[in-house]
Amino acid sequence: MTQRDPTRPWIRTQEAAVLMEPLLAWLTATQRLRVQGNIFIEFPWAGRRVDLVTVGKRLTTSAFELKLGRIGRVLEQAIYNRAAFDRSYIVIAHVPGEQALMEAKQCGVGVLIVQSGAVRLMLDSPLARPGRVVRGRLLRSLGTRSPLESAI
Amino acid sequence: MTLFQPFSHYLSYGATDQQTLRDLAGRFSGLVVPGTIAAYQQRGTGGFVLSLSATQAAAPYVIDSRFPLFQQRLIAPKRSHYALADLFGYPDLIERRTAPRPGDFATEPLLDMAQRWVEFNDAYHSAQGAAFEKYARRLEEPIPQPENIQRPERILAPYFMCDGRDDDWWQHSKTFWEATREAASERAARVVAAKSVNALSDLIDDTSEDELVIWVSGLDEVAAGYRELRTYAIALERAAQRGVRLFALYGGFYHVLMRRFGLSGLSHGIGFGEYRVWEELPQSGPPPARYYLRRAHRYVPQDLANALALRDPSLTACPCPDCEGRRPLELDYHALMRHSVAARAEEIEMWAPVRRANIAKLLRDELAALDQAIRRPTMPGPLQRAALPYVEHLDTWANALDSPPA
Repeated sequence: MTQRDPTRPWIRTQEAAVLMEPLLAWLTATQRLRVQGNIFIEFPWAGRRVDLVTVGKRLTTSAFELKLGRIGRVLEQAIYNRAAFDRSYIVIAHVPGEQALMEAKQCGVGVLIVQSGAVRLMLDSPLARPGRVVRGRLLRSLGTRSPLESAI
Repeated sequence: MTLFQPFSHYLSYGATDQQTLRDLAGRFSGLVVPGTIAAYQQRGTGGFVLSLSATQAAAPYVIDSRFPLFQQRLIAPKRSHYALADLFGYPDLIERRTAPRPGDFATEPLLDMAQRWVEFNDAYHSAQGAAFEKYARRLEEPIPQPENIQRPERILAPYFMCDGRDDDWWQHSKTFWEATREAASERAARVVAAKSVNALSDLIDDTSEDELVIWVSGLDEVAAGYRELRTYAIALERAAQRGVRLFALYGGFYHVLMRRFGLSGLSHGIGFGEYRVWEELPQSGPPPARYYLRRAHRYVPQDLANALALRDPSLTACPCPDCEGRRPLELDYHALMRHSVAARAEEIEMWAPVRRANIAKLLRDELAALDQAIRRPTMPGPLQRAALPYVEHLDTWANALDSPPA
């Protein structure tokens, strides 16, 4: 169990402690997340929580699911996220097996590897706008929450 | 259609359900109003339920006493629990420190509570006048005329949750029943609440009424083993062979199948509530947004249903108006709820003519078709692994009903 750091309230899990900050730094460094871009930690969606959601230019939404260990469940969640978000990624600490990588590619799920604090984009998630109804509901849901401005 | 008329489909009323119920008028047989809600929201619930009873659809209703609340320790009692205790005339029914024992209940108070319960039911239809205008407007119906407003269809006697005929709580349940029957005569209906299916069988054998409302605590159809489900079917059938008509307070599709074993009807919540554990949960709230997967006869996560639909639309195909041209994730909360009730109504209709000997085979055919569709190479591995556990219960149900009880 990770010790909660009051100065970094979004660090709630071991995954977040190890993966989140390098990820946020990488998103900023690669200009995928601008300073004014909105980020949402543990965003409630469809009865579960998405680890990280970013809203970028032209309201482009990206979902990130973080996992240190086995990736089966996190890949499943990332596949679900494809139906509502413009891009969907898994953020993991190990290079996935061939089968998992193939499944991620087949489903349009991007793969980010975080090792020793460095982030590597192994597979990008192609931009694909979800259907109007679902996108509208997602944006309304995002709009009703106070965004947590990037703290990096 | 009435409570014991096959095959009645009642919905358990929740305070958040009014919009859904308005939309579904005519698609269900009646309402079961929890005593907690009836007591706590007398004006609102009463106004709505009575207005609905006076519409053309004329939905009948009954009020469930939810009395087992008071045979347990309530660590964090809700205001509705206090309201119900007040309604029974004994605020000290709420026990926060220790679990009550049968010896804590004397006969006189039980008789008094049964009398008060009957009086509450008898007066229920006449106490809500001021709220009628509001609810009639919401239902887009004329303000109900007093002669059209219905009394509760039957008065469900208060009851305790019991572990068999030797359980001391059963004696108290009998006291409740006899006092209710004496006060309400033929309008009274007996409730048999059991801690297990074996207890239910034993308790039913200890009754002589020809109509019973039944509840087995925690009988989760999709998680129960085939032996438990088979024992349940046998218990229902034995009662039916004695000429007893049974109505289940909680049930899902397995209970629809129980029609062939003598069940006359069922109730469930809107979007949830296909089983209930008698011990009160510390927290409760509206049901989660889940999608009722018709082909599996159960709820699945909404995003799993959507992912399946994207790859094989036949897996989630549904003729209900809410699903027409929409994928599961496009259904909002109320649409999910309406869809679930429409699907159940359709299941009742579709399975009505199925002969008992064919049920297990049909379930296995459904399972085989689902299994094949889910395991297609075009279905990503993570989705296959996520979806397959949601169809396994069909095999359990088939095994439970394979060799129909003699």
